[in-house]
Amino acid sequence: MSTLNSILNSSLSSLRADQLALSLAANNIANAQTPGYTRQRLVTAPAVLNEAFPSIGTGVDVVRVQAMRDQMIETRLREETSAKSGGDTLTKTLSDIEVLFNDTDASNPGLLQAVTNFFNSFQTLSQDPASMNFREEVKSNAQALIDTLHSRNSDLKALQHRVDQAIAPQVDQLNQLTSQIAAVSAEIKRQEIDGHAANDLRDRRGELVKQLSGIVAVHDLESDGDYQLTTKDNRLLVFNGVQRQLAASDVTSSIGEGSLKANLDLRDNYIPKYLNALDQVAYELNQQVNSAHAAGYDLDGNTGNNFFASLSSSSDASRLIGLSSSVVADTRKIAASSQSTGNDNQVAMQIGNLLTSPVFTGGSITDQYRSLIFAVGSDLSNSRSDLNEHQSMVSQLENRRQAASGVSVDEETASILQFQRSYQASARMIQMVDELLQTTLGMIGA
Amino acid sequence: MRVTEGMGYQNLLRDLERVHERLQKAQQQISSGKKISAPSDDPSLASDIVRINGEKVESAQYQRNLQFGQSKLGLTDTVLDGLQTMVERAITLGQSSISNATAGTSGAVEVDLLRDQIISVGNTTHLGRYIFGGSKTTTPPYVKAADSSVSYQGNNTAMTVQVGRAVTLQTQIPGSEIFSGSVDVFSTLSNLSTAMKNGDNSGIDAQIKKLQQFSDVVSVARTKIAGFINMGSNVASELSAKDLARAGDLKQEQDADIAQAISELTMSQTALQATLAAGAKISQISLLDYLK
Repeated sequence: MSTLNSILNSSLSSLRADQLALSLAANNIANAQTPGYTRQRLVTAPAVLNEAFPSIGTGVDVVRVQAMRDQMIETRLREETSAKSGGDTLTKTLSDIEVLFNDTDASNPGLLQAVTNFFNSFQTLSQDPASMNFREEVKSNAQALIDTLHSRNSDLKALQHRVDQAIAPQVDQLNQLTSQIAAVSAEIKRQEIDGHAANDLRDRRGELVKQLSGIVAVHDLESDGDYQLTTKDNRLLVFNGVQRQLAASDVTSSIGEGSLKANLDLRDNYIPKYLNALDQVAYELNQQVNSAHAAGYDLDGNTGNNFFASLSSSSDASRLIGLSSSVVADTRKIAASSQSTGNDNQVAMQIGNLLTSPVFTGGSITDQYRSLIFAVGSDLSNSRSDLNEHQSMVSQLENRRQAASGVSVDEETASILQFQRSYQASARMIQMVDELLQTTLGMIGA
Repeated sequence: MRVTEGMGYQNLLRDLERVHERLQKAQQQISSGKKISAPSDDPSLASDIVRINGEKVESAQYQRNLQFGQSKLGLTDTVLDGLQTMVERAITLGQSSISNATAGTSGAVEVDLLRDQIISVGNTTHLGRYIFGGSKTTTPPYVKAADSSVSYQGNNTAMTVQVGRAVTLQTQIPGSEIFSGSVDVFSTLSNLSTAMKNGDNSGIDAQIKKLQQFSDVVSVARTKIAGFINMGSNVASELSAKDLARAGDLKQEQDADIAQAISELTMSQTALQATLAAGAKISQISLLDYLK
């Protein structure tokens, strides 16, 4: 009797295990498209606790539910997600900046065209320095150049402001995520206290940490049931169920990769670099034109006047540059001549020739501006190729993650079949034990 | 390796994205006709294109300056030609009045007229500016005083324009090198007229010699002007040759290889069709299909 009962129990344990396995398969299929879901598998072991015959097993024991997670891939994926998201942010804003400096299309009036027109109008003035029309043309071309410099300056500053404004909401988002991570971690700790792996919560936490990685690269460490999440510059974000808020002022350039750092870089490195280059162009233009102009004589034989209002340094020159008050008031004050009497054109020619003379940093003014275009173009093309690289790394890792942790419906279907058959077999066993018991009971009855 | 359905969809999406990107790039090249449309497409090429475009505009300005110079020089040559004819006429009048008092009296009137005409030649304007006054282009260089004496109000500055990075073209010769240079044509003609009226043969003879010297001065000036015109046309052909070369460079650097872009477009289209077709098949087969 006791052996028959033990067969009954074995079969019963198999029925239970098969049901669990079937429900896991159902859950796997249900979550096949859930981002961050890790497929789960039932780990079983033969049960041994047959007191009468220890060498004969007593059915199947459900050991645990195992999530098929490859921690190495998850970590790499997170790192690459940070790099990709940083590259993405960088590329978007740099593309906006590139539009400002796209002088490759000759039909698209850019700064270079404004500079060229300005100097050319001095060449035209040299044909007839006495012409009031040509003088007006010089003035209006100078104004157009000044306007273009001003608008480039304000466009860059507007972008810088936009990037700066994006930082605070990102920090908010980061704090929201870390608070969720802390809550989930506390729940995991609570659930796992009796040894049950909280696989689904872990998946949720993994997904949250991955989202966080888009903002900033993080490290996580789990040992002896304690969970700790830090930034790359070792700022504690989460310890078990406790979140440590990050303030916008805590965010420095040493923070790890991610869109937050990309915005910081844009605000503090890239945009200031372009602004400085633009200021340098404006300042040197201002200085060179003024020094030639001040040495010349205007229509009324006056000398020593500036063409542009004088600037003390290159700082913010592209915003401050403007015509001198004398030129604004009267175009007769434009100095075109090298002599106090007569209308010779030496100074107009000299200023016109500044377009090509190599007196600016890095050569002519065109060369100087070209190096700015080159810097903008190559920064963007570098960030774009970085982005491509990280993008393909991410997709490769995502494939590997799928290979290890993803749900294959075919596979689950096969295992459903398998456990269905196993369930049927165990049920048949119970039926058979029932028949045997009836036989035994029949013997008693007879 | 385990392959899951999720992988198939992820890969499909990524491949589609890539094909669309290639397709868009090819389309952009074909529609704009340009290899690059922004500096980041090829920063150093973009920098070259910007330089070439800049040079194009620079060269256009040189050409405008050159046209201005050439038109001024052309006018100068024409009026100096007329001046020479007038001087020849004065010489002829002088010669025919030697020992001929009647011819002398009537000739003297014509010589005075010629002198006034030459004053107006000296005050020739081009686009409203005096061309023989040096850099004093807004006031007439030759002014006739009440006593009929003529004085030069200009200066000695030679006006030039820029026609190349290191090339300037002189566009005018100051009157002080022609009309009132080594021979003052106005006082010479006054003296000739006086001598003709007075029948002063040796006086007439002396002034005729001076006029012949003056004629030489004009010839020299005309040669100079011809030299400038010549230089101008050399510069012009050089500028247009450079423009052509530059256009060629630009074409090579900037223009898309349309044939290549079209074949790229066709290839990408085929790839897109194939990707879509393959994608549609992905989810069609499943183990579930074979279970009854």
